[in-house]
Amino acid sequence: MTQFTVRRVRGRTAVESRQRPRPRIELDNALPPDAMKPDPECAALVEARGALLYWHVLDRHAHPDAEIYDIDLAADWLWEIYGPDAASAILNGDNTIATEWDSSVLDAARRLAHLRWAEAWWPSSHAAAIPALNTGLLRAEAAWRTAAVEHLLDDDEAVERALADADLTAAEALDPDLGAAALTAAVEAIAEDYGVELRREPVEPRREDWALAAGGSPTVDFALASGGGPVAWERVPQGLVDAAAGATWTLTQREGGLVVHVTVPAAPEPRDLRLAAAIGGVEIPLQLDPATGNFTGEAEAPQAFLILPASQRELWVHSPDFVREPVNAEEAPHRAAIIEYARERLTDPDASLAERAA
Amino acid sequence: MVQSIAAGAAVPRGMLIADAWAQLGDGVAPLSNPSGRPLARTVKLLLDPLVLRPNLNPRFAGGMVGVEHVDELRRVLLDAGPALAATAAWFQLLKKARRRAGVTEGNPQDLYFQRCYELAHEHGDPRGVPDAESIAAEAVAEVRAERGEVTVDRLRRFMTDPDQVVRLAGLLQHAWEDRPAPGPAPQDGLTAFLDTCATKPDERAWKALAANGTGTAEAAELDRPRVALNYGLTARERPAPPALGDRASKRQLPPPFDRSIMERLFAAFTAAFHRESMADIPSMVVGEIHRSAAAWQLAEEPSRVAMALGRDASNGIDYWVDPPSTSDANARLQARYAREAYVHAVHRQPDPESTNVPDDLKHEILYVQVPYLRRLWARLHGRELRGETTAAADVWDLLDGVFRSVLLDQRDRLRRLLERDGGRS
Repeated sequence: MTQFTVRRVRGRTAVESRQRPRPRIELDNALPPDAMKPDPECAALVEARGALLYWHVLDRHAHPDAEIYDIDLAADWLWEIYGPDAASAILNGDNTIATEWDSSVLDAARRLAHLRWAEAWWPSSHAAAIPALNTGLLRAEAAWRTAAVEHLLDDDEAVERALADADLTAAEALDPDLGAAALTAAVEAIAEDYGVELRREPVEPRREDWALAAGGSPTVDFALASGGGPVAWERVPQGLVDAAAGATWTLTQREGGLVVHVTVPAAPEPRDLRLAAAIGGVEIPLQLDPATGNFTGEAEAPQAFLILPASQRELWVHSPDFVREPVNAEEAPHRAAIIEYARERLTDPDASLAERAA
Repeated sequence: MVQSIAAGAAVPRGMLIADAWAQLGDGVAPLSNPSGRPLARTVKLLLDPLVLRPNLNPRFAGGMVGVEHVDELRRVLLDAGPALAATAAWFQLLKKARRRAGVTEGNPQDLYFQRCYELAHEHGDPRGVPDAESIAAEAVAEVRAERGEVTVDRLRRFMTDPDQVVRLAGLLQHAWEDRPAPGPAPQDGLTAFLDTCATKPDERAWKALAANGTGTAEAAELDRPRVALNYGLTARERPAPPALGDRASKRQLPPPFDRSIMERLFAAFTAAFHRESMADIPSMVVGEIHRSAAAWQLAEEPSRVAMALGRDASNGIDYWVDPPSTSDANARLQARYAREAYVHAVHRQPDPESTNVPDDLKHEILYVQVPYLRRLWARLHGRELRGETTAAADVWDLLDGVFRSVLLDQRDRLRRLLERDGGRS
């Protein structure tokens, strides 16, 4: 049984579970629905016609919260998600609903949301022993689930879009016991129905040995100062930086002056994209070093670096693609829980193929 | 699935259709999605225009159906069952023929659904038709010829024939010289229409906007310096007559007003499917020449009104701030853009303002009206070529659908920046 409060604020209808973890604010009826949405790293979304559906990954209830922005459009399919009685209560202006509805459409929607979450936030990490997921496989599964709920999606080309990214190569290489045959057959049939040619890429050999743990900095110089801290997830793309290990910096004296050296442990199977670090006003470009499995870089530092108060010696790692205001990584409330959740998913028989096969 | 219903109540249309559809059984499975619901395109291309016809039967329209119409709707669907099952069987045959012919282009649902419905009415169920396979192969070949290289080739040959070039160039020159002086702007009914088009589209107001020439009058500003440029409709200071053109490619099309006559028609050939509703090539070319000289470079007044509506609905939509809205439609588009920001964060996508985002993409995200009006123009242009009329009830779908499709393309492009090679190859 999931219980929801239904609020109507400025033309929008917010369906919000009472049991769900919330951003750190008090529930207030005047709050716009946005304020109640889960933090991005916990949100598993489905963009339906006339409403946004979102599950919280750390919450196990089957039914999503919803922000309904076009109630007439949503009326068509709301019953598929909440059941006919709860849907009709939402439409009739009730302030609370409860539902135990179970259906294959609800299940497919939830799985789709979860796959999209995993694509964005899966915390792959050597330090926490969370392997990377195969992206082609994840997207093939997403295409399958998309097709099952295409009748309620906002995007009328959602299936074509999802198929364009799907890749069955990995699924075909899997242990047959994992049950990939059903996925392969379904995705091939869907691709034919929508006229999309599936792309197939040769399976890339894993570029690093799983046993290779995050290495330390290779520097042998005498360190004048050093420190480190976690990396803010929302400032780097998924799958580049080890989700659990922290970044470190060391300040050394060289012939030419002070040098600050930064090491950021890479995630398993990282893509070769650029990162950058900043500390005490010094910008340090980082590059993947395949030998150590770290993103590393160094830059000259001014003498004044030595007298910086500790608060200004905070290390920020970010991708040049991400410039939004960072949230203090140490305060990110869900990281440990998400890593724990990912670990459970790896052995959960109900999890996606990509998770079980990782 | 249908519960007991109180009198005076209404039932979600989607639930009624799902319920009746389930009763049609396996015969319609090829028209269903993996959840057993009719495919979105089954509803859009078959059930709505050919079976339920909400335009003629308003009681079957909208999200909710009055309880007194429930039985009728179900009966209409069940009565169509045999025709739909035959359509489904034809669809299977056409897909097989398509595979055999090695055709991979286009979405088979878009291409064949309505053709299959026609075949079902003409021949019945293909399982009783001895030469069904050859009929299917023929249908596939026809559809292919209508959209494929054959047509584009004929267009190219016609437009590069030296005799024609001289004549067409003369026509183009005259059409542009004879452009009428813009009339006075009529009483503005645009905002009033935008206030209700999403919820209660007013057919009379829509017809009045076209009858008053509001779209044409609103186009007058396009000839002032930089106005059409700022809307993204041209890269020039002000619109100039297009070239006739002798080549075209799907990639890298210039802004709409800078496209050659050839490029305009080419884009429509490859995007459109219902070639049978289009004119023959010589009259299409002449028509396109006249269209290029008309207000908004569109031929029909309702399309011009739609451009003016799109302009106003997308005005002021900003990546940074949430300005006061000018109409309900404007507020709805703004709200969509605001939701998009949250979806970006959830999908962990690159920030548009980062230095890695190419300038053209960044510009399109920060000034979303530019790609919006470009795409709206292309949609309306395609609708004109296919002879599709636009009713008041279609306007919001069009305005909102174009915005959605612009945002989803931007999303895809941002996401590609993070692929293995950083999308830079």
